[in-house]
Amino acid sequence: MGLGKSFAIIGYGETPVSRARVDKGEARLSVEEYFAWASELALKDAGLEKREIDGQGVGIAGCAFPHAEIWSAEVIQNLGFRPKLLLRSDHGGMCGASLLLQAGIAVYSGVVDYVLCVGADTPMNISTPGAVRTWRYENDFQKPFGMMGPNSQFAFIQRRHMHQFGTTPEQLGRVAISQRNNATKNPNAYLKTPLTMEQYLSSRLIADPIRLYDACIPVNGGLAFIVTTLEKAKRIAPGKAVPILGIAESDNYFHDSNIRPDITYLGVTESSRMAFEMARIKQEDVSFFQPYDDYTIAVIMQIEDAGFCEKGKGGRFVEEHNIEASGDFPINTGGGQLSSGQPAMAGGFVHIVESVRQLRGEGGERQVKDARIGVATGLGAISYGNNLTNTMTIVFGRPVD
Amino acid sequence: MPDQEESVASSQSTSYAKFLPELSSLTKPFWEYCEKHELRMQYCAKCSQWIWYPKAWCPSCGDRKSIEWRKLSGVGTIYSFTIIRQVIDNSPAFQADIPFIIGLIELEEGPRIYSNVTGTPIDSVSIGDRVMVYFDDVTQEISLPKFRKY
Repeated sequence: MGLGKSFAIIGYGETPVSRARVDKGEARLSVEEYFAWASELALKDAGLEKREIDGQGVGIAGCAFPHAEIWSAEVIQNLGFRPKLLLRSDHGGMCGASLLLQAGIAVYSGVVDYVLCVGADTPMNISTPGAVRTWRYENDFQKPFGMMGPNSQFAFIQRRHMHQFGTTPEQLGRVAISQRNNATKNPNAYLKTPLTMEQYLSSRLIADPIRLYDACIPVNGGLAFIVTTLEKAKRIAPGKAVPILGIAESDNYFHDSNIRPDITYLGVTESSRMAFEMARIKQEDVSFFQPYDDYTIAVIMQIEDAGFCEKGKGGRFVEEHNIEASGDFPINTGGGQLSSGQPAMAGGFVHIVESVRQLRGEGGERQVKDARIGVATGLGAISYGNNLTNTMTIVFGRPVD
Repeated sequence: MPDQEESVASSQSTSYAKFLPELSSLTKPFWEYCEKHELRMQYCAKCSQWIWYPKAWCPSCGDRKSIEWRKLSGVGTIYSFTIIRQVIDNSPAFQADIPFIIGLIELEEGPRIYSNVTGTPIDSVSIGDRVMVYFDDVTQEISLPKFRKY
C-alpha cells in the first residue's frame, strides 16, 4: 500500500494558446474563459458531466494575471462548481504537479472520488510592468540593483553551470532546436517554425548568458486534468487512465551548504530519487522525459539531477543523444514551454498533460514509439541566491484496463 | 582590513528614478548600517551561521533571540554574474546603464549577495574576481552596497 499506483489521470484538456496578437488574428480571451474552456475539455475527455464535480474536489492553480489573493473562490463561482474539497496551489511552475499530488492524496484518503485540477493564465493581456506581485526579497534585495526577474536570476545559474562543467551555448542550443522540432509536430504549439543553430546563437542576449531562445515564450492558455483512484479509473476509463506510479516533492533544497549552495543542483535530485523509488523504476526504464523548461539550462540540469547522466554531463548528453520525440531519449515531446508556450502559472500543467497524451498513444506525429514509462517534473519559485524553491518529479505508467 | 568607509561620487539626486527597497522593522537595520557605509548582516550566535537576506529567525536553528547584526569586511569574490542587456519589469531608468553587471558575490565570511559590479569594462569580469564593497548614496535614506574589482 502507498500513494504510488493508487491514483490516475482519467482526462485532460488543453486549450489552444495565443499571444493575444489581435492584429495577427489571434484570440484575446480573458482568464475566466480559459478556465471554463480547459475544464470543459477535461470533463469531456473523462466522459464526466459538470454536475458530477459537485460534492467532489476542485484544484485551482494560482493565477498571476490578474490576481486576487483569494482566487479559488472566484474561479469556482465563475464556473459554478460546488466542491466538497477546494485545493489551491501557489507554487508557480510547480502548480500542476502540486495539484496532482494534493488531488492524489485526496482521492487516496477517500475524502472525495474525483478532483478536477485547472490552471489558466493570460500574461499577454497585461501591459503594466509590476502588475504581478513578487517576493519581498526580489523587491528589496534584487530589483534595486537592476535584476530583471527570471531571465537575470537564471543567468547566474547558467553562467555557473558553464563555468563548472564547460557547458556550451551550442549544447543549450541543441535543447532549444530539438524542442522546436517537436513543436513543429504539435498543432497546439505557438512556435512551429524550425530553429537553426545559427538563429539560436545570433538571438539577442537578454541577461547574458541567457539569450532570447533560452527562455520559454509566454502565452495565454488553460489546461486541466481529472484525478481519481486507480480502482475507479479502471471502471470508468478502461484503457485510457494513466496511473501515477511515483510522485515526490522537495522544497527549499540546497546542495552542500545553505549559505553557499552549489546553484547548479536542483531539488529534482531528491524528488526524482524518491519518485523513482516509489515507482520502483530505474532511469533506463524511462521512455520519455518532460522536464519543466522555463530555460534551456533547466533541461540540462534536470537530465543530470534526475540521474540520466552524471552531474555536469548534461550538455554532452544532449549532443550524444537525439532528444526529439523520435529520438533515443525524447525530451519535451510537444515542444515544451520553450516552443509550445508557457501560460504563466499554468505552465507546469504542460508537462503533465503531454505525458498523459503520450502514454495514451495520442501523440500523433510526435508519438514516442512504445512509450511505457514517462517522467515529468515541476519547478517553481526562483529563490534568492540558489535556484528553484519548489521541485517535484512524477512517474507515469501505461494506461490500465 | 580594507577600508569600506570609502565612498564614490554618488548618483544621488532629488529624482532617483530606479526601484528602491521598502523598509520594514526587519530590513531597516541593514539599510541604516548601509547609510553609515557599513556592511552588516545578521548572524546567529547560537549556531554560528550568517543569515542573508534578513530573516525573522535563524533559518538553520529557528532561534529568534540570538540574532545580531555583524560587520563584514566587504571583500568577496564573484561566484557568478550576469550582464543585463534589456530592461524587463523594472524601472525604465535602468535603460541608461545598459549594459551593466550584476554579480552574485560571495563575501569572505560566507554569505552571498546580489549587487552591481561597477567601474570595470563589462568584458573584463570573470567568476573568481575579487571585489570590494562601496556605498552608492542614491537617496537620503538609501545607500546601495555595490562592488568593484579589488
